[in-house]
Amino acid sequence: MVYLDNAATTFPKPAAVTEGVLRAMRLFGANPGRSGHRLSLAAAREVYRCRELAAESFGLAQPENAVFTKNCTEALNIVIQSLLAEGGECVVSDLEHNAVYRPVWELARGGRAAYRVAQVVPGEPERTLENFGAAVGAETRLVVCTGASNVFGVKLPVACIAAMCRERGVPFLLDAAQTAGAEVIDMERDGVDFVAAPGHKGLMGPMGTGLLLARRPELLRPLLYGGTGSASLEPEQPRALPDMLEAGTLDLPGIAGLAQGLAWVRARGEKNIEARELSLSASLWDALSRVEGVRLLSPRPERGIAAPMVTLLVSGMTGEAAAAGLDALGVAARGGYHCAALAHRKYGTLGTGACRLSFGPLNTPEDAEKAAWAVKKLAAGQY
Amino acid sequence: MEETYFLTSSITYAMRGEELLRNSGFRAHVVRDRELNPHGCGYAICVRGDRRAAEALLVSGHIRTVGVREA
Repeated sequence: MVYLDNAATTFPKPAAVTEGVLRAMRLFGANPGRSGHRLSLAAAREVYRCRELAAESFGLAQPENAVFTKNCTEALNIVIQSLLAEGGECVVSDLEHNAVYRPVWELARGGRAAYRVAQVVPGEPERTLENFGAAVGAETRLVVCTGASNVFGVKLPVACIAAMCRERGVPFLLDAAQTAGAEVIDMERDGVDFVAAPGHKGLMGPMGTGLLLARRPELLRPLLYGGTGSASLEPEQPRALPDMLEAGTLDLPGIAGLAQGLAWVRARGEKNIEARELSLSASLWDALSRVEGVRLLSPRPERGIAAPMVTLLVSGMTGEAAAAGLDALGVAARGGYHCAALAHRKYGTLGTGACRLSFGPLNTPEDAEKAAWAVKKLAAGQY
Repeated sequence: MEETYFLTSSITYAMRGEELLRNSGFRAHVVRDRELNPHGCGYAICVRGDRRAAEALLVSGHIRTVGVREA
């Protein structure tokens, strides 16, 4: 089976990640930050090592401001619900995943906050930036956008949007679900206030892991309250990170695996990973660009333009049907709506959905060739 | 040699402080003692050597401490 569903979660994982999980469970599976025995301290040390790696990977000076969450969605929710707790407006793009769209929509439905949608103009970062600038107003409390569309791969001019937000004094949150680990994200350099990232995609960790990285922790509030192992006699949740946002026992095995994933990515370098994934996905895009019955919806994957994925429709088929056909031919792809109604509405694919083939660091040229063969078979009705 | 316990507000600060001190040549390790640190996280950094220099290093590294005890 050729796995091309890496935008949902990367697979396979590096062997070191699996070994990291097993090592934590076998050798020091005690509760980190709760007890004084050596196993608990060893567990806490492993957690801290991962925290340091995470902070370094995103150009964040303070390791304590790298917070573990169970996924990217939780990290996004913490920031969105903190910044809009007192009302105001949020600006989002028209390519957002439901992990952003649903929290802001829910706040708006309850009348607690409002949101504006800024139009992304693919291939024209200046116009996209203008649209974000026009959407920001006196009531804006937060701007949040994805680094790249999870459906169509289109990249957003994140550094420019962050700079505009800094000038206007509005906090900026980056949804790095599709870009963490696959491009360099430097929060200090680019002035990004918050980054939400999944641990299990480009960072190569296990599912059930996520990160929130905060340059402005003073703006945050807990989403979950409970034990932190600190200030235990006080009813109030500690206000300092990471404890404020890490109530309850941490996922030590997951975090140990994530540490290995982060180290694996750093050893290879995000730029090298990005170049490899773009090369493979571009070769698939090129192979399908003139095939009768295949409609490519995503731009050709290129640095700064589009993420390493090829999203398409095969004539006479829904995206879901195309993905099922590819499955039968030995290629794992994602059909349907990709939890992104806004993006499908923008591209006019609400009626059909789409089929997405997304690349990861461990794909090979042979994978791209087999995918091209399989899509051509589908388009020719030979399956 | 004199031992000093820097009581921290969380295990994360204890770990970061320990690393900071070790990188500067101090002998330091994290311990847990609720009696030493009943109001914080229960963790402290035990340091051997010049207390004032260690304290200055922790302050410069923005390590949140909730108290200091001599052994």
